[in-house]
Amino acid sequence: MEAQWSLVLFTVISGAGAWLFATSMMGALARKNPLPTKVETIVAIVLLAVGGVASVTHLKHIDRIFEALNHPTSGIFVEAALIGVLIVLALIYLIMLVRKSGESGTRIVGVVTMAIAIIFPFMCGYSYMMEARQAWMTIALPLSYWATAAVAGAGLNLLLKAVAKDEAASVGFAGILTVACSAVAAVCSIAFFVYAGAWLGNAKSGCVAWIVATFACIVIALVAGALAVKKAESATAAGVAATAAGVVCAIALRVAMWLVGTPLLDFFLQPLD
Amino acid sequence: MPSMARNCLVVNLDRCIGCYSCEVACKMENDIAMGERWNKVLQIEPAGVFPDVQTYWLPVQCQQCEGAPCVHVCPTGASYRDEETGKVLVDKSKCIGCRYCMMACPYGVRSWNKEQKVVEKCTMCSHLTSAGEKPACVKNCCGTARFYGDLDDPNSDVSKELAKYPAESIHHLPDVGNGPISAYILSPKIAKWAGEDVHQTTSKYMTTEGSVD
Repeated sequence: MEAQWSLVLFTVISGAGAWLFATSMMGALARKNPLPTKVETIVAIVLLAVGGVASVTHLKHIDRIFEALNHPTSGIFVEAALIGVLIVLALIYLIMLVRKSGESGTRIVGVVTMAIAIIFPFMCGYSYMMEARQAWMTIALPLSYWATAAVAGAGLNLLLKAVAKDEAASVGFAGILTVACSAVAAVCSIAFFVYAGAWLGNAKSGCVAWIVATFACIVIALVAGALAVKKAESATAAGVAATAAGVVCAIALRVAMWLVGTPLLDFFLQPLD
Repeated sequence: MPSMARNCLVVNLDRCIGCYSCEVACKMENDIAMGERWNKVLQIEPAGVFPDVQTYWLPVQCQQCEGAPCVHVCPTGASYRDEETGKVLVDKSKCIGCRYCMMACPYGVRSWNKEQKVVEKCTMCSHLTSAGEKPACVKNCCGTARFYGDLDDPNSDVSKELAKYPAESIHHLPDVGNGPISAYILSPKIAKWAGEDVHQTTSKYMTTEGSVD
């Protein structure tokens, strides 16, 4: 099956934005860094918005989008609802930061935003679990969507903290999160591709190259995260490498997923392009 | 409250001669563009070793699944089950063109209307059946191999035709939880049903040669 690039970019960009906020908030909860900053929150909101715009580019009748209110249990509706709630919550959080609201209130909004930010990338992958695409019928698919987006978001969190010259503890913890997300992404991606491997013979050409790219970039992100932990005071380059590798691994996994998504039967042979 | 009808097509492959009339009739009746189709005849290629070879033709269209995945994934309710007739239909005025239903259909029997940019499919000629007529593919089948009606009505054409055959001759396309109700009749003496092996059906034995555009 052909890669659907607008959907690939949607889940990668918005997933990275969601995980940027989530990982920064994790650092705050672990008392390694202050609450997510204005810059981090704005970058997260922009990424969520850009990802959302990318998602609608594959629709041919955007004028009818409000018909989605007719079927609030579909995967697309759930994704749209989650990204909408996430953007609103992040905006509320940003306003509270700007207005210098009380820390406990801001923290509570941050935690709720983080929770939605963690759920959202998983649900983006969960929508693809359909019997017609047997290679996708595994919980490892949404988990690998979730985890590879986390690598991109964690890498971006590391980069922003390194550029902002945060304290070593803050940058070091961002590096630890990058390593952890990369390790989880490796496990989830292995699980997905082992399962989907049975359909590899019918996959579109180039699938294996994208799978190799997925794991190569996960390793690069993991090493970059580890270097940031070791040299927290000069971690900008590691942050750039982790972000780039995280984004590419997330893209590569999704493209491979589309290419291996052979239909159960395809009688009309109608391409989705 | 009366239960929903289970209207569907039944195709007797023992009688199908592979003339493609159903394909042509469908395209003519529903004004379907070149390269698009709601119904397609496949040749399940000769299998076996000479002189014991066999082949049959398999017309495919929407299977009217009981747990229709297309209805489940449609974000707008454009793909829906009609409460009166039980048919799975598409309200094109609600379709946003996301094509999730095409991804979710286990048989790839949904069609993309390039001009209107919406998904379409076999309606079992709702405009005809609602007026008491038969679908165009049924009316025009020169082998009298196609039947339309309610499976829950013992006096319907589909029920009466299925009742003539033993269970071993009645088949459905592979079911992955979607529950296709459209049925095929193929007696072992004519050919061995190849639909159980989905991989063979897609890669080894199925050809579309002769199918009309």
